[in-house]
Amino acid sequence: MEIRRGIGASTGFAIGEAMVIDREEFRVSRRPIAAREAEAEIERLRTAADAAAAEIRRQVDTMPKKIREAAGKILEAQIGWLQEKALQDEIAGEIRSSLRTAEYASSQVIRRKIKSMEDSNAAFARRIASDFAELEKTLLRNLQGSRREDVAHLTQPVVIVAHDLSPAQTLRLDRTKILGILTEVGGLTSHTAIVAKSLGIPAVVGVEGVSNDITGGDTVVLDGASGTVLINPDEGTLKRYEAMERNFLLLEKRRAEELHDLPAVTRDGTRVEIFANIESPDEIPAALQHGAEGIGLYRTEFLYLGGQVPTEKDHLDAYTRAVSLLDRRRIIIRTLDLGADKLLEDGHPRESNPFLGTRAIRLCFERPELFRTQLRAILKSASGANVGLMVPMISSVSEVLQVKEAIEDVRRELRSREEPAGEGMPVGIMIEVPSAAVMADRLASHVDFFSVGTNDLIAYTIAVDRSNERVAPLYQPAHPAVLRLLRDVIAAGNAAGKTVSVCGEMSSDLNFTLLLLGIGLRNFSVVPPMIPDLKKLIRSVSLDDAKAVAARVFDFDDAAAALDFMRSETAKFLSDAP
Amino acid sequence: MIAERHVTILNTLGLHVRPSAEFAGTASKFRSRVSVIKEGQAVNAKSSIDLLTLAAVAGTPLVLRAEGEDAGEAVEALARLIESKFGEE
Repeated sequence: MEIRRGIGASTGFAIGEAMVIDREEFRVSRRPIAAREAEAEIERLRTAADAAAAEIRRQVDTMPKKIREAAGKILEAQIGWLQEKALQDEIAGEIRSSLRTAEYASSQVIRRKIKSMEDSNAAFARRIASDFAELEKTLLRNLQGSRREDVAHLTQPVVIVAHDLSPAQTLRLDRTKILGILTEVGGLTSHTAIVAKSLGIPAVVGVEGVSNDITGGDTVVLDGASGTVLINPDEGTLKRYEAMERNFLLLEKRRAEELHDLPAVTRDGTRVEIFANIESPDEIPAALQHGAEGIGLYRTEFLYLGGQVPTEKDHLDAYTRAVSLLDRRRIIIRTLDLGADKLLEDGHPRESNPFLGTRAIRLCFERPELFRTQLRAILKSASGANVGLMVPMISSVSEVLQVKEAIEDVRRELRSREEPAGEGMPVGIMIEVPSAAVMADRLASHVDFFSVGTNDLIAYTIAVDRSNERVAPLYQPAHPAVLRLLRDVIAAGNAAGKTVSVCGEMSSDLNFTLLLLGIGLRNFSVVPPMIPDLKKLIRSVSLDDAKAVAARVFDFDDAAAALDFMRSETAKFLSDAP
Repeated sequence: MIAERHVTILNTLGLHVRPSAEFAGTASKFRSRVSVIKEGQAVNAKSSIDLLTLAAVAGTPLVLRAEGEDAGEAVEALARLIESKFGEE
């Protein structure tokens, strides 16, 4: 057992098998494969062996003549080994019999040979062993080149171990399969820490060299509070930590219950509302347990993803269940926010640019029956209940008018049938298209509330798709253009006496809390696990603190500098927090 | 058809990098399964890497064993290669 210490970034215990991800070094995945995948793995092996041979060939060809005379022979031999049918066949056999990845099989086969050479009593064989180790590296590097271990394709729950996680990597994390996160770099307010915290995943950051000390498949224990990391603990220690994990979960529940009954007010008494984002009514009990005062964003896309377009009854069942679970607390139901390409039922013409195409409200206008079905259900569920309707992707005032007309039309139909028609139901819009943000003052007079979807607003403002690794670094939530839009939207809403909420990722990121409070935000809608921490932070600052931070943030032209500043300010208050 | 022949490594360097590559290359020309046995440990004669793991230095006695339609010729060609000391000296 080895013990390492880092910074506890997200509390909780993680106990499980490690998966090491790294940008430079190759890692050998022990991942089992299905029998039908074996031939593809073998194909990958052969391609990688060819590529590795070509790589060494280039190396030999570009060597100065003198060096080539000395070192060229062994490299020539390596090329020969890689191209030899016998080696490739043996590894292929290993892939088929052990049903493991090409990386694992190559490593197993080559290491066996290295071992027998190292044990040999002939000096030349022992020397060649190190050439073999080189060969293994070259081959593995070429194998990984074609498919790195990817956080998006996890087959079993793991503890992720990495030098660092890029925003694009964290975005692709399969949240259900990640027990914990361990990184070499990072501090309390690093990207990894924020994401881990917001997902409620235990994390330890800042453990130097840890991705070299842990091999995929090692058992790892993380204590996200103390920052303790145990590598391959013995049975007794493991049992002790499992017991600690159970205790922690119990305590955590109690702690949330205590904070639960305290309101989110700043030190000077400014009341702030904290709502939760959900995708299904099933998440409501947990959200309430975390202390949510209501649901600020109910994404209804979930209803559409079962393979067919939901009926009015499907909609209504979900909404009435949500309403009854919430017991008079407010819920904002967002209408369909899918692209035309995501609707499975029809062969919609492919759009060259779905992100700028027929998505969300645009699709609803194009398919009025789809929209009316959902509107009917929302209006019915809103009758005598605390329900608001929110429309995504609004880009102009005329679209708002068109939405309101559609709602009135459905209402008339319901009234004529003497069905509940959701009289007086608040109607709001998402502000996520820059044109809507710019027109916020005009839009405010036509709606009951705004909710800022920061993710799309950032993407559309900076014109960047953050899932595209090549441009992902351009996706900067603290970009001054984004922050100006946000400030103006909040000001416009507040001036018109309309509720403004932020439901995008920014509101779950504690680094932005002071800024948002400072520019007048009084309603946050966040991922449920973030609620206690957000509440604690709000309770530890005064409005003057927040305004002072906000004023300084707008002095920066550079997003990274603005974020650094917000991080350091946030860290001050977080460390002061009781 | 099975053919077997006892041989002894004669070249000074033994079954080193180049000789083993040459040996495996020659063995691969035949359809038969060919193995080289040293003190009961048998390896694939068509794999120069496996031949290296034998660490067969000068003077090492080996058994060449082939199984297949051209077994006789295979053993014959490989024995000759060893006797020729792989062109060394």
